[in-house]
Amino acid sequence: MTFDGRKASPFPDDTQRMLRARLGWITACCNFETAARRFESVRRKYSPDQPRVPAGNPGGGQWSADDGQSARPDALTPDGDDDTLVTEILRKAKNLNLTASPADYQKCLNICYPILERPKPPWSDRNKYDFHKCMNACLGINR
Amino acid sequence: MDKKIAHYLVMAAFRATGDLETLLGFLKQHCRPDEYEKFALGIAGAIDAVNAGLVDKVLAQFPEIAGEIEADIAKYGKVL
Repeated sequence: MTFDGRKASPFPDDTQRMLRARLGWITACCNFETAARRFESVRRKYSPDQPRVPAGNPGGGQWSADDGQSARPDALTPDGDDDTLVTEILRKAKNLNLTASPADYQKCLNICYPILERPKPPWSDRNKYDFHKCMNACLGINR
Repeated sequence: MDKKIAHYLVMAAFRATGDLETLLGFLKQHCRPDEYEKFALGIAGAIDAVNAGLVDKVLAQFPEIAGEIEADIAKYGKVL
């Protein structure tokens, strides 16, 4: 225990500083990722080609009900347009690649692996589980 | 898969990665820092591969197991 009643940290000061810095980095990454997702979500919703209700009508200028469903791969018939499906799959793969690139993965490993260095008894699962949570937090839904 | 097998799978995953975690400490003591860093990242990647390939899949199917793991680790320091 410390003099003010808090539990003493098992880490030396420099390790604590490093962990705090890495934690700050993760928080900054998370904030950036959230902002980027929000932007991407808004960007995807906007399409200059999407039909609008003509001016002079109630709700003029608003997006019309036709939201392009017919162009979606899940709306394809068995004899549907394979090119559309392939294009959609490639677009999704490209998005995933952009948001969870090997470089990002390495960054996450760099951030999280010091957790595995914490002194713990050999039978303990704590470091492994905390490392697991750290990697998932770092990579987010693009795991 | 039933829940008992899911538990067994998680425990097997932690056992498998336990050896690698021990290796990390050993290498830190006996390797140069630059060598250590290289292997540490490789070991962390291997541990993550096991976690993503096994633990995450089990937790996706049985989300309640995450709470049980947390409780076991808080109480015993390991998954029982």
